[in-house]
Amino acid sequence: MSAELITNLVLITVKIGVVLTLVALAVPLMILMERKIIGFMQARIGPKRVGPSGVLQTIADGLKLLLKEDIIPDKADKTVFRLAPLIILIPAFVAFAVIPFSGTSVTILGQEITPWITDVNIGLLFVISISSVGVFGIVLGGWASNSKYPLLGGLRSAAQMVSYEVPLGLALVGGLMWAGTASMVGIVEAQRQAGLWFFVPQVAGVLIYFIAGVAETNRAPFDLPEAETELVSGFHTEYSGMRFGLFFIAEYANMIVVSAVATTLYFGGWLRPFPSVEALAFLDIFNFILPGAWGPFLSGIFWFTVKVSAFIFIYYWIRATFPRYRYDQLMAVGWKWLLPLSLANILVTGVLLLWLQPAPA
Amino acid sequence: MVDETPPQPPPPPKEKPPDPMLAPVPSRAVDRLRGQMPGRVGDPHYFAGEVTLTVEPAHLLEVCRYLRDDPECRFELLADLTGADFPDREKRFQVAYHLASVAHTARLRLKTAVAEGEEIPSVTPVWPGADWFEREVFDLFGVRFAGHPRLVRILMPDDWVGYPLRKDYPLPGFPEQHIRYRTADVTRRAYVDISWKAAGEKAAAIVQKYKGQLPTPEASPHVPIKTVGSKE
Amino acid sequence: MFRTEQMEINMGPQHPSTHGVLRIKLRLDGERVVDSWPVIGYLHRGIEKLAESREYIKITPYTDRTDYVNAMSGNLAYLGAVEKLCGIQVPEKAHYIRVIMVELNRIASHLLWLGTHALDLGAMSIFLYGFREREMILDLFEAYCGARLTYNAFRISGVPADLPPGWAEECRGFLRLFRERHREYEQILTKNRIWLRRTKGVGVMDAEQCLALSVTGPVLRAAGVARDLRKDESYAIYDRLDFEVPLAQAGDTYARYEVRMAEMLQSARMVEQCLDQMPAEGDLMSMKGRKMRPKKDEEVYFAIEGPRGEQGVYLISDGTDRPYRCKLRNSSFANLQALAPMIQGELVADVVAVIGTLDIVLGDSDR
Repeated sequence: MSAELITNLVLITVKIGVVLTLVALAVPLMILMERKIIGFMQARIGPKRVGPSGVLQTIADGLKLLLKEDIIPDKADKTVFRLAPLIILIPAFVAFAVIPFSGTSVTILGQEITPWITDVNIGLLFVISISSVGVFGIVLGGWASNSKYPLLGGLRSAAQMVSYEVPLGLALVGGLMWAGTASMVGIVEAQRQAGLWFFVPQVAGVLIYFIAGVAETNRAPFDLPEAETELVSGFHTEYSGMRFGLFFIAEYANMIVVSAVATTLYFGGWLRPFPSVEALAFLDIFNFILPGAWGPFLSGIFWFTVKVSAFIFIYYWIRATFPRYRYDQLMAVGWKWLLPLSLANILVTGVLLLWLQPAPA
Repeated sequence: MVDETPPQPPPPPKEKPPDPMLAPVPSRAVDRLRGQMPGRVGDPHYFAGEVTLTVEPAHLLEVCRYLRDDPECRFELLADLTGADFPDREKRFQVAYHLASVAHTARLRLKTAVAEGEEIPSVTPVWPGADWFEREVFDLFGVRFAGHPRLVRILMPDDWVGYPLRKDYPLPGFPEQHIRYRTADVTRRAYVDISWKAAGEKAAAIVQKYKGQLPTPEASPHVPIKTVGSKE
Repeated sequence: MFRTEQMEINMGPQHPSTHGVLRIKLRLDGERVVDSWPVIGYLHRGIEKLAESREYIKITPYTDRTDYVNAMSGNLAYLGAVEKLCGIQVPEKAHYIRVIMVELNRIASHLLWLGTHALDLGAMSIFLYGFREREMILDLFEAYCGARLTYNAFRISGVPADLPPGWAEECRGFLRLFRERHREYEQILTKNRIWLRRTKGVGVMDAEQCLALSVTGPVLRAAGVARDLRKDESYAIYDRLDFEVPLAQAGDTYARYEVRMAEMLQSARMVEQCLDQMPAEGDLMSMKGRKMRPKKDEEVYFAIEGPRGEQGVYLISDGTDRPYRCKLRNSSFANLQALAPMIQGELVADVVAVIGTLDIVLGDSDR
């Protein structure tokens, strides 16, 4: 084995470690922010007791979950029951492999460090395919519990998965047609060259993608598999302790993935607003503070985080506002509205692109 | 008993001025009913702006149908159905039907009485809403309603023994039904060994003891047991 | 090769949205309800039996504990029956105070309904908004009678105390605020497409069925029957108040939502009128003693329009100071009968909606 290969392996392993740690740290923060933000929207305070202004609340909750007894129902299919949280958790984390957090590489100890773990030319497809695997975790978890409410939750999830995977994928096609590549880095680069974020020509695409994305992550108003007031806790009724905690972490990690894909494909990834307008270059403040490549590197991470956070805020906002859909209505929305709309979006995008660009010679 | 009554409690006035809290008396409906069905209902009794008619269980359904369907009566709402126990009377159970007419904003009380072991025809064919009310009367008094779709207990547990609202049912329940936990058992660490099991066995023993008297509509229900906590 | 089975499932008695300890045995075909059998009685405390061994005056606190989110109406229904039985006149001012409390309690009860109903359907914020205003009403109650849930605020033949100083202004201030907040609730829900889809055409029950099943109150009025005992039998001083009875025709969950929302505003109107009309001075209780000697072997039934429907009390006297029989006719019990027909053939999610829209309190139905 050559030294270069070993260096690369070490490098990638370290990067994976860093990304995993950051995501794992982001989840408690997201939960805290969710409780604070929704608390604010609902005219109440939110967590207040643990730590200053309750900032340690999620840590305490996490510790509690870790220390709790892990109960596996007697009649459960034990192997699948144990496996299900992992099936949903691992894809949620794997999807981060192709997400670019910034656009500029930095050099540490003579090694060029790219701000993404890997850049494959099928990046977007990779994310879609990986994140659909996660839903099996829910279905299997509901099935393996061998209990009635989880079973209903699992069934709902299966139906929801089928109905919303399709519009989700088709909505992305419009963005892909503008980008001309499925590489996540390439998509952002295409937006930089085009000088505009793709949400401008793809408003319908963004909306369809985000609605389907909310449904994919089982968040309100599409939280039918969980549906606390109907199915007690849906698919994870029988889960306790850290196994339940894994479902929880996976849900939030999936929210980040959906938001990150939306950011990358439609909102210019790490680019600042109006990337083509030179007069706005001052927005990348880190460029002026830090030397060399570190400035653009951190600016990119900053903008990426801001955009992802904005999406996550919308998640919370929706949750605080809307009632929950009913199972059959959810299907109707998926098949009767989102699917035709996403197909129409592709058609319109195609026509638009043909009209704008002369066919390549 | 502590009597804190001041020397002169004001007696209720003999001639009351018309009270706005009282509903109008549906005398027209009563006259009509008595005219149309002579001998089916007893003399009306008026009190506090209410009218009460007594009816024999045999005529109950006929009268109820008439009261519901007749355009002058139209008591389309069964507001309440309830029982009362008079152990001294020959027909100890009295069942009262509070009818209300939305169209004429009138109210009427029908009363009927049965002895232990007799049945009253169920009025569920006339007012389906009588279903739960009759179940409640069955549950708490042990009065049985013939033709009720599913006469089972509603408020008390299915395996309950006795009918709590009877006057000879003691207020604290039968001593056998008490399950006592000694404080020491609860405060000791032994939440496993105090014994939900023993409690369950005890309950099972009670059920065993009264087996055959359990409140199925078929079984003959009431066992007179010495009253331990009735009033005064 | 393939075989489908119906599934039996217990909803409750421990379930987030059965509003207490209601249990429904459901038989499901997929998510569709084939058959259902509501089971109640988990909160049966034998209040009627207890009442037989208590003096008339000592039963009032028990009526708080039947419909505990609406204790004022429970008090009023019981006391009205006792006063009717004994022929006691209530002073005018006491009537006004009673009506103010009962109508405020109706708003509080409807707010609780709105919050929990919306929460059941997944609209979480409205629950907390509703509770925010309900807290204010409870503060007013606390200022008047010292209790926030089980008030025992009235006495036989009147009320024990006048409104405390400044209470009326507080109350007016609350009602002004409440009207604004009421518009906010409407903005969140009334035109919300998901809300409309979840409530329109769900749990339909027409007027004929409602009457046949002894269903009263907003559920009946949402089916187009104008039966409101405050108008029809105008007890207390309701005949002096100018108010409307909100009606809807559709008989579905949304119609019941509309009716209750409108009722809250009407109640606010009534409270304001009461505050205007109430005499500044006047007796509060007409009876000073504690001994009740009603006529022997007489019986009365007195009903008021509670937030859930007809709330009646049936008393049989045997001439002593204790009732021979005290039956509380509470509307949750009768209205719950409508549950099974309403959810027949609907989805599990609608079961939750229908439980919410019936606005049941299990303490009320089980007594």
